[in-house]
Parts: sequence; structure tokens; C-alpha cells
Amino acid sequence: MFITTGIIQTALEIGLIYSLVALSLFISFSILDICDLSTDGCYTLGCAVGAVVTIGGHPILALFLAMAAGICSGFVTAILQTRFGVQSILAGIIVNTGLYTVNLAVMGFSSNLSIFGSDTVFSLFKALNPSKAWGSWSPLVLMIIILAIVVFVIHWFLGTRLGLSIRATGDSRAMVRASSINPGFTITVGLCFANALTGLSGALIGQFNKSSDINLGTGMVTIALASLIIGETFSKKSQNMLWKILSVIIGSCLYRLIVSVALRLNVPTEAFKLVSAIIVAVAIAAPQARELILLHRQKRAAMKENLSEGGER
Amino acid sequence: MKKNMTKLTAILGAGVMALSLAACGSAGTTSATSAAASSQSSAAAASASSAAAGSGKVYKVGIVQYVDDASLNQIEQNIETELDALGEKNGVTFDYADYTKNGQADGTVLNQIAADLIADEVDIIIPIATPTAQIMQTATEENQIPVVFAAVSDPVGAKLVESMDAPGANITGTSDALNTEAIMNLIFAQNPDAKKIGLLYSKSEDASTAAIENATAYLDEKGIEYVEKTGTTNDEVSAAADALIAEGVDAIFTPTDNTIMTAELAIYEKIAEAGIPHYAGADSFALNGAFCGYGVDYANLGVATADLAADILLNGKSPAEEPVQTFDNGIATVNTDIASALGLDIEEIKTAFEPYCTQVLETVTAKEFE
Amino acid sequence: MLQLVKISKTFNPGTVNEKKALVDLSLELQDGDFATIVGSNGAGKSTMFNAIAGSFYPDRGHVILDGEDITFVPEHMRSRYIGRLFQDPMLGTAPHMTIEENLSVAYLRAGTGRHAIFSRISAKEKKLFRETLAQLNMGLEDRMKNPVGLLSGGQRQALTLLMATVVTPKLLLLDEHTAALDPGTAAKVLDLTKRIVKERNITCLMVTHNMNQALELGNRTIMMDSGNIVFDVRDKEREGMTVEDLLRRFAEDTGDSFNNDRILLSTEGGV
Repeated sequence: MFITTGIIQTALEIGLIYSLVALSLFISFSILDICDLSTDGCYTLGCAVGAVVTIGGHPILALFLAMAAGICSGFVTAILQTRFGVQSILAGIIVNTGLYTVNLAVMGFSSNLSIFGSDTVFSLFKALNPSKAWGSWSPLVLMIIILAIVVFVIHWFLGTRLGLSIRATGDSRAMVRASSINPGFTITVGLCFANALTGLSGALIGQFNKSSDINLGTGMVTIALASLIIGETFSKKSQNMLWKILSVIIGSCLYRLIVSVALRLNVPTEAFKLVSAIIVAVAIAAPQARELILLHRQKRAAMKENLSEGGER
Repeated sequence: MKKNMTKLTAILGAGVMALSLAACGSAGTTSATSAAASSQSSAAAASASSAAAGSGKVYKVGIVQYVDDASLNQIEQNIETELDALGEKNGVTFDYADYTKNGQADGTVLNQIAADLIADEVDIIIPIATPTAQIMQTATEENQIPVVFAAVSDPVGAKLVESMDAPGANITGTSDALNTEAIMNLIFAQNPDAKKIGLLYSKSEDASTAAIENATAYLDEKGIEYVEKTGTTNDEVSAAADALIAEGVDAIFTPTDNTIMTAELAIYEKIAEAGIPHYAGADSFALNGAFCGYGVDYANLGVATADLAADILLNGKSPAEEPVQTFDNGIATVNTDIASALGLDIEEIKTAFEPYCTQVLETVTAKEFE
Repeated sequence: MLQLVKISKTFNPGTVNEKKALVDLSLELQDGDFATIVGSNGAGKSTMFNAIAGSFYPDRGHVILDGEDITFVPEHMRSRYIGRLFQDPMLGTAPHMTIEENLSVAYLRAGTGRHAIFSRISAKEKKLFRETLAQLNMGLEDRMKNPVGLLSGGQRQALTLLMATVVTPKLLLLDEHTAALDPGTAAKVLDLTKRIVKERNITCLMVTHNMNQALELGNRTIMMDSGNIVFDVRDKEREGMTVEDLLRRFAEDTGDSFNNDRILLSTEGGV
């Protein structure tokens, strides 16, 4: 069979886990207009913290501690930008570099930790029902539940006064200052929230893969950005915040499905990065290309008119 | 909503078009290799001397490579050659050509590669290197497809097996754990007066941790001073090498470290110019300019992995009971170009090394094995 | 209400670009004063506003608001009591957020709003915004869910004015806020300004390049040059003044003649 349910399940499960990082970038990049390059390190931090706590026997607590670790990472990145005037890109790079050592330390200075044999949230959830069908679908169901909670929290939060202030900060800092809000505060809250999501994603992938590796996060920010951009093409014209949030998740899952199809077609994995680049480029360029074609037609019609009029005279 | 559907179709369409273009290219090569494979098996059938195992059955073998690098590639090639040979010998076909995947050091893709192989209903999975093996372990937890890993330095530490002798589940394989003491002996055999040893490795390499611990323990016992410098990218490794040269070390030791391996071609010249012999845990290092590579013969390891896999498939052995194989590091590979650059006589070296290894091979600096 | 005591500010001190923007500037503003400020470019008008609003801290001197020394209080805390409008209509609002959302962010300045940062826009508040917008007579109350980026310059400036006054400030700083608008819209926004300032008795400082306006609006006219106040007329003394008188006084007090074309020309039949 060309596409099995197993392939689609994995694609969706992975897509949902990575969509958390895409959502994190949605908050830091789309809303706050900050390029947060500490994502890679924070993702690995979440994975490392999650792994250590899961091995210690507390898989659910692991998720929360991973989020707390993400908040700490986001806090440092924010303080560098708001208090010490470091440019946002550089602040992210600095934190990312420092996190490498922190992550190694969390893993006990080993570059790889295996969680095999310990309970994870996925195994606990699966144990709720012994049927085989449940065993096969339970990870996906768990991810959908987690994502539903996250989407609800993000949507609710962005509608509160604080959420509005954060949105305004990304739109016009002058206006925020004039409204008696401290942009440093809103940036800090925004970055902490975003990095908490990244940490959560790292912890979930660690429990999903049953391992934590120091090099896990490399290139994560690029993949998440690609998912974000693909998702945003669906919601560009919309003002509905809920749809904007959901489209990010759709973008991430779509990206993973395309990777699955690529694998089925035996595309050499070396070509994957190029394929992703092409897909993102097409996604962004499609509306523009459409307009170019329309314009071209308009021009041709106008020129025809001119010619026929000129001929008559 | 309609606009969104058009956008969705556009993206999927573009995606499929791009993929089919790429697939056409690769489909061409895979059909060529499977033609070669089938001609091999037909040749095997034609040669009448086969024993009863000439069933002509096709086994699907999924080989998963982590990243491109001389040692890992060497393993992959040897696995494939040995599978071909065994297939011919037993009158079956090991079809790996359609199922060989390379993760390109991208962990995010490995999960989906696993799902892909399972959908293809492969009979066995051969992951190369620890991160790949761990993901295959999780992916086969339910379906218990046999997994034979290649080149995992610490299978017990990585929780892939319960113990080296009795793995206990569907996973077994070959380990390239390094005999560090043996290399240290070589260093002092060549230069008994060595006072300071440089340790060059990457902290992010799982394989290096145990080996460096052994090295430092050995050196502590002997009371020899050592300096550790690490790097995780080519630039950092280069800087680390510079630092060790500046420290005036008498020799440099590197375990089976993929990161240093990737950077070896960039650093070997300055190390040789400084008159420092570079000892490393794999012969591929010597190929790329280190003075001496002493460790597991990766060609051998590849062959043994293929043997193990074939054994499980053909003879129905259970991975739970097949012990993980380690290799007696017997072969030292010395780079003659570097030896001359260091002003050392190759015959003297051979004599010095003789008590510590079974064989001394020579090589010159090149990029890949022939 | 407001006291500026010997404020001095030099930009890029010790370099080729050194500029003494404010030199021992002192000003006293009473409650309810509406002072217009004129001066040529580089006189220091916007810089004075920046000093009052807190965009920078002065090198020397004090800023005292209602008896409290706010010289080193950060900008976002001062904006609780000090509202400001800029010449650029784009600066005061968030273009990607709706009118409703912009107003509710501005409303955070209200005491109750601050404590409830997790509160959402209530129906009562939406009603309040609607009523306030209706006063503008620009039809904005029907477009409350539209993003602000779609509004024209005049509409945005009017909205910014509302946002600055939705919680009545102690002091309002208007930095040529109608200069970038077409005459019709400018007139509307100016009327709105006069109305709101009068209704709520807001103390106001307004920079203008229109000499007629400078003498007609408010109760006080201040002229600045080279980082200091050159003259300051109010009430009775100001009533009889004409633009020529203004120019003559300028020449007397500075020894220069007023030489800004734009300002001089704008007196011809301007609004």
C-alpha cells in the first residue's frame, strides 16, 4: 500500500509535537516581531530536563519542569534584550550557545540519555485501555488533547489585556509606551511563554523517542519557521485569531505529511532540505504569482485595445 | 475557504511535482541496482551447486544511516557487499537497495523513516550509530521487527540491550567499543619519553565519553600529564588542535569520534608540521591524515553485522539470545606520508608496535577508501 | 501643574555633531493652561516635549509635575499622566489590531484596568468605546472591528487623540499633530482637540507652525529659539497681538529675523 495508516499516524504525531515549536515562533516572531534564535537550545533543554525527570519516574511532572526550564531560558533572552540593550538576534544566539553547556550538564555531561524502560506520558495514556486499536491511536489522541489545551490557553491569553499589550508591543512599541505599558515587561512575558512551549515540545519528543540527544535541536528553528510560513499562507487575510493559531498547526502537519510522501517516493533524504525550501517558496510565492499572471493578462488586454483603437484612427 | 483549498492544492501539487522529479532520478538508480541484484540471484540459481537454501526468497533489509562520514560509509558498504555475498551463497536475495535511508544528521526525519520502513514491511532493520538505533528501538517496540545495530559504542549504557551476552529483546548488533589501553600502549611504545598527552574529542559524541575516561584513568595511573581540548564543529576542532599544539604535547589521542573525524582532513597538516603524532581509534582517521589509527576494523564490523543479520533471517535465530559482538582491536594502520613528515622510520615503528597488535597496515593520505 | 527647572540637554557631547538642544530651559505651566509653542526648526520644541514625556533624561535640571519630581521616572510610567500626539499619524496606534483592541490597550491606563491584566474587554467597555467614537462623527463606531491600518491619516490621528484622552491625562502634548493632514481633516481634528481640552479642562502644550493658530488657540503663546524660550505672552498681553507683532518681538529678543519660509508662508490664509 502506498500510504499506510502507520505512516499518517507518525506524520501527524510528529507534526503535532513540532507544531508546539511553530506556535512558539508564532508568538515570538509573528506577534512580538522578535527573531528568537535560542529556540534550538531551548528545545534541547526541554528534552534533557524532561528525560532526566522521566527517568526519575515522573513523566507528567517532566512536562511541567521542561516548561519551567523553557521559561527560565526565555527570561534570560528577554533580560538581555530589554535590560542590557542587546539586539534580539544576538541575545538569542548568546543564550543558544550557553544552553549547549547547560544541556550537557543536565544530562550529566553525557551526550545521550535513553529513557527506554521508563514510563512516559504516552505509555501511561496507552495503559488506560488494553485494546489494540487504542494502542495504535493513543499517542495521536494524547497529542490532540495536549494541543487542544495549548490552543485554548494561547487564544484565551491573547484576548486578555496582557495579551493585547503583547500584541501591541510587536505592532508599535511607541504606542505601547504611550499607553503606560512597559514594553520590556511584555517582551519578557511573551518570550517566556514562547520558550515554555518550545520546552514542552522538546520534552514530548524525548518521551516519544525514548531518548534525549544533545544534537537534537539543531536546525529546529528552521523547520519550525517553515511550518509557520506554510501555515500562515492559509490565514493571511483573516483577522480571526483562532484560525491563525490553528493554521500554524496545520502547517506543521502538512510539512510532515509532505516529508512522508517524499520518503514513500524514495526521494533521497539528501534532497529533503531542498524540497522543503521549494515548498516554502511556493507557499509564499503562490498568491504573488497569481497576481502577476492576472496583471499580465490585464496588460495584454489593454495593449490589444490600444492597437485596435490606433488601427481605427 | 475555497481560496484556501486552492492554496492547499497548489502546495500539495508543487510538493508532489518536486518530489516526482526527484523520485524519477532516484527511481532510475534503484531499478538499475535491483536489476543487478536480480541478475545476481538468477546467476546463483543457474550455478547448480547451491545447497537446499536456494529458495530464491527475497528479504527486505532496511539500512538506516545517520550521516555521511568515512567510517560509517565504510560500514554501510561492507554490510551491503557481505549481504550480496551471503545472498548469492544461500540462493536468496537481500533487498536493501530500496530500503536504504540516510537521516542526514536530521533527527526529525528519523521517526518518519522508521514509519516508512515499517509500512514497507521490512524483515529486518540495520541502523548505524546510536541515535538511529534508539529511534528504531522505539519504533519496533510494538511490532518487534528484528533490529541489528552497527557501531554502537555502549549498547548497555544506551539501554538498547539488557546485557552484552543476552540482549533480551528484538535488538542486537555489533559494538565498536574501543580498547583505549591498547592505543595508549602504542603511544608509549613509539615514544617512551612522552610527558604530555593531548586528548582531542567532542563532548557531544556519545562514543568518546567512555574512551576518554579510560584514557585519563590510564594516564593518571602512569602519572603522565594530559590536556583535554574539545570542539563540536569543524572550526572549534581546529581551534582545539591549535591549542594542543601550543601546549607542546608529545602526542594526541582521539577516540572513535565522528566530529573529529569530519575535521581530520582540515587539521592533520598542522599537527604533523608540529611534529606531533596523532593516534585515533579508527583506521579511517589514518586515511585522512592521522599518524596512526588503531581500533576496530570497520570493514570487519560491517561484515559481521551483515552475518548477524543473515543469521537471524535465514536460520531463525532470536535477537534476544544473540550476543552483541565486540571486536578485538588488532590492526594498527599507520599513515606513511605522515610518518615521513614526522621523521619516523616505518620499520622502527612496526617493530615498536609489534607486541601490541596483530598487524600493522600502511596507508597514504586519501579522502575515501578505495 | 508643570515646572521645568533649568533643563539642559546636549546631544553627542564632545564630538563634531554636538548639539546643545536645550539650554537652561525653564517653564511654568498652570492648571488649565493651553499654551501654543512656535519656533524655527532646531529651536528645541520637540526636544522639550521629549524631556517632559521622558524619552530621555536631561543632563541637568528638573521636571516637576503636580509637585512631584519626575525627572528620572521612565517614559512608560509618565504616560499615565502625560498624553502625547505626534505629527506622524502612524505613530500612535497599532496598525494590525482593531480599533476596539487599540482603545482597550489605551484604557489600561485607567487605574482599575491595570490590576486586571487578565481581564478581557467587557461589554460595558465596548459600549463606552462606541459612545466615545460616535462623538467624532467620523463613522468609526461602526468599524470597531476593522484593523487600524486601514484608516486614513486623519482618522488615525483622531483615534490617537481619543486614546490619549480616554483616561483624562494631567497634561497633553501635541506635537504638530495636524500638520500632516489635509486642510479639511486638519480642521476637524483641531476642533476635536479644542472640544476635548475644553470639556475636561486638560492642561495642554501644542506645537504649531501656523502663526495665526498660535495666537488664536489657547491662552498663552511661547516662542522658542536655540534651546530656550525667547518670549512668553499670555492672556491680556496676548489678546491684541498680530503676527507682525510676533515677528517684531522675535527680532528684538534674538537679534535675528525670523527666517523660516514654511512658517511665514503658512500665515497666508491658513487655517
